[in-house]
Amino acid sequence: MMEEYMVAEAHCDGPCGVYDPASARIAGEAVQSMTKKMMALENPGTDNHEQFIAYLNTMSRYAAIKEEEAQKCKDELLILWTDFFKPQHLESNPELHNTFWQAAKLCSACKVEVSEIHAQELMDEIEAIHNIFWAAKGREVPWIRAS
Amino acid sequence: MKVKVNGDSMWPTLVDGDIANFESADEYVLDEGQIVIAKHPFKSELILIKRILSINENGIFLVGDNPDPTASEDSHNFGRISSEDIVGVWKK
Repeated sequence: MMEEYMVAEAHCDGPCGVYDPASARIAGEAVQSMTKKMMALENPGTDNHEQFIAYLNTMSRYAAIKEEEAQKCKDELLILWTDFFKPQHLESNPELHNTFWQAAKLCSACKVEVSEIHAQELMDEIEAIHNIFWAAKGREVPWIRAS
Repeated sequence: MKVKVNGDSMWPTLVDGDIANFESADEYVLDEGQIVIAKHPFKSELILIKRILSINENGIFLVGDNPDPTASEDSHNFGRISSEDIVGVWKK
């Protein structure tokens, strides 16, 4: 004789999103790359007008990309923070809010400044978030970098 | 009553295909932390299995155990529900 069951739904049909800290990581790497390029770009001086204009143009492009990617990084982090993580994650990660807050502040710092130290600190925070995120999903995903 | 779990929103406590024993909610004082089956507030034909996160004068807030936000449609989506919609309480 077959036993009869009531079926209870434990399904998702809400507004699903795909979450992955990789988006923030890629933007963070771009910030760090642009920061390094800005620090390394040699100033040719003003004697050669064409060289100087080319220098200004390149430096401006680096700065614009750094600005854009830092904002993108902050946006991606805020989406993870506010949409993915739930209150129960605080129980196993009491530093969760502080980690995201620090990461978001570092995005701002990297926009305003040209600081290799802050760019590396931003990457360190993103790595910490990567580890918290994948632990919350019960998966082991190694930290990798594209650069 | 025996209930078959359909989906992973209660992972890791209850997983897809598990058979769980529930007792009528009439026999329980509802409390935070209990796993319950309840009528979906907008889809009356659906019975949901969730955990009670909180209870207040505005109703009962249900959540899934699965930390993946894509894995659970719960009170984050449909809001608090009435205690009258709670059908049963999980008996471990």
